[in-house]
Amino acid sequence: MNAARPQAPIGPEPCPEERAALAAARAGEAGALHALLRRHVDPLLALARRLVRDRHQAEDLTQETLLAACRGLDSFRGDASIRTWLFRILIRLAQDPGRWRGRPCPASALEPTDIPDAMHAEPPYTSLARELRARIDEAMERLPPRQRVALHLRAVEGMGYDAIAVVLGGSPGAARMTVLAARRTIRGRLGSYLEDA
Amino acid sequence: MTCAFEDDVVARFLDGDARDTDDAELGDHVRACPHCARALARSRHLDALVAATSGTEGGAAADRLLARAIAASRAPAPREFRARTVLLAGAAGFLLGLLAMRLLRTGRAPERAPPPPPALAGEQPAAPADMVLLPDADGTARARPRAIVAERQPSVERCAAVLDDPTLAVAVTMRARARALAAGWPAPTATAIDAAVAAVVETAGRTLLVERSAASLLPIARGIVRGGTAGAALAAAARAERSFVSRLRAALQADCADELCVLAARLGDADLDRRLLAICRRDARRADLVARACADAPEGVARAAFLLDLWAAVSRRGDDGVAHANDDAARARAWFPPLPPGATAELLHCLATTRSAEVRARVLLALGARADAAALPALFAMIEAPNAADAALAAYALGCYDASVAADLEHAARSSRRPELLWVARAAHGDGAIRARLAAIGCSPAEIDLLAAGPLPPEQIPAAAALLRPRLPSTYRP
Repeated sequence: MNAARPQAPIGPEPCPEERAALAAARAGEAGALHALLRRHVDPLLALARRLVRDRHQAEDLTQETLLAACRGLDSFRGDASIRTWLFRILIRLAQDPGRWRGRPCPASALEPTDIPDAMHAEPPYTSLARELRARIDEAMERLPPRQRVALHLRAVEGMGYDAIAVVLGGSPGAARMTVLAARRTIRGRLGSYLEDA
Repeated sequence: MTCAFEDDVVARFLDGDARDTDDAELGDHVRACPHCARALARSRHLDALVAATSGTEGGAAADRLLARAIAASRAPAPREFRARTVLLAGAAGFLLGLLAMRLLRTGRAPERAPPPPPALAGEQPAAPADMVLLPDADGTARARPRAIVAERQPSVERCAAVLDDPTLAVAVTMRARARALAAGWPAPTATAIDAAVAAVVETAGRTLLVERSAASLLPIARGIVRGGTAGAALAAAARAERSFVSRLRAALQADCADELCVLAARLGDADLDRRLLAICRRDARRADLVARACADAPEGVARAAFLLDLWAAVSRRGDDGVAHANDDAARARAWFPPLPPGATAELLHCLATTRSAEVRARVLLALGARADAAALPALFAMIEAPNAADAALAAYALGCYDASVAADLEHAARSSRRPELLWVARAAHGDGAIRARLAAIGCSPAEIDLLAAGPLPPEQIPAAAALLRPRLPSTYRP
């Protein structure tokens, strides 16, 4: 049984490089703001697509998050990492029912699964690969939003439970239980697919 | 059956939440408990799959979003008194409008009269107060009683009768009326309406594309499905208009109109395709409709791969065994031949990349149904494949080709490791030469009739090959 330890999960505190980049951006140095935020855009986009399911709405949500971050950079205290802070903004914006959920995007069993067209390390174009991706996305969409976000942050972003707790609010223990519940639910729905792999 | 330590195992070994003092003890438990070992492996695999499906395009899109956000954040913030300024400007405009109307009513209208209708230049007949000038179909202006203007108004009903579409008819009406007013006519004629009908199918359809109302979807769908130059132009515009695609996807439901499914199938958008698959899973009747629509997709839009997905989606509906194979062959013959030539290349790509035996089988049936010469090398190669089932289906596909490949089949049989399959494919042509050769190797008349009666059903290929294998001349034995 290979039970090797994973790499240390990403914590909630900002690293020294991030603090320096933040100070440069606040000082108005040319390109500093772009350099500070650029590496967080893809993760934001990925989380947005988990939350609003429509590619264009996800881009709108990401852009609004970045805009709010740019405008609120001076009020950012620096207690948490930039990414944690950005995720919090995105989740708060996504909870506005009038903006995202009120659009003609009914949550039903037929709800489309927004799968990125071009993925990193995409497997060869096969029906099975596409179907598997569709099933995973479908299972993720059927999760309660809190579980969906928690599992995404854990599995995709590699965040630790203390960082997830900062993003979602609550304790690290509650975040851990949320991730476990999400995994259990999805494992139940994807049983045969996970067995086959 | 579950294990009480499962959550601990997953959390500590997968999430790095272990305390070193417990590590050895828990590690021993994982080695001894198959349930925990399995849960850990599945969770690990699940996390990897979730991560793999969460990629984004990144790159240009991310740069664009960030650049826009930074630029917007540097723009001056909206000023507090903006709303008040707008209100004041509106009120001033309203007062000016009232003043202008008052001036018009007191006879101090603008001194310059509106230009005469273009068709009347040179004639200028005076129209009595109860008459109005209207052009005939040939463009000649005639004074008509004002009362008939009402009849000649471009009614929605008339447009609807022409267009078979009430919403589009409204657009035609508005357009025709606007053109008539711009030309100085009090109302458009029936001829003008008819001319507008043709133009508006494209132009009003483009306008409808960016409308936000759900009611505009069906007219667009019908305009595109109706075809013709205007329909093709509308389809291209619809494909490029992402907001329209999003609205169409939201409207695609199990109970939506067939036209929406047809339109979605023609557009070839990945998001729409996923929605169509979900609908067809629930309502297999729609699958044939969607497949027929795929044949009308423009060249270059990948539809063969989508049809394979659609096939997989509807095949999981309880079909089994021999009946399943027969249905599949019939479905391949119905769905794939009408696709454009590029579909063969798509199918060959799927054949080369898929690891699924089911997908390979469907691709081979589809290639047989298309009988495209471009697929012959791949089919001959598949005869030599290690997998006997794939080879049998390749023989079926080769048997679907016409007699122009007979010489190739006979030549390939001499060096093949499965010559009997190539003989089965050759026998499907049913000509006199192959009948004579079958008789020469000892096949009975009944067997010859069976083998030479056209392509055998796929599930009978292995039995036919087994029948021929011991009878082949020694030169054919590998």
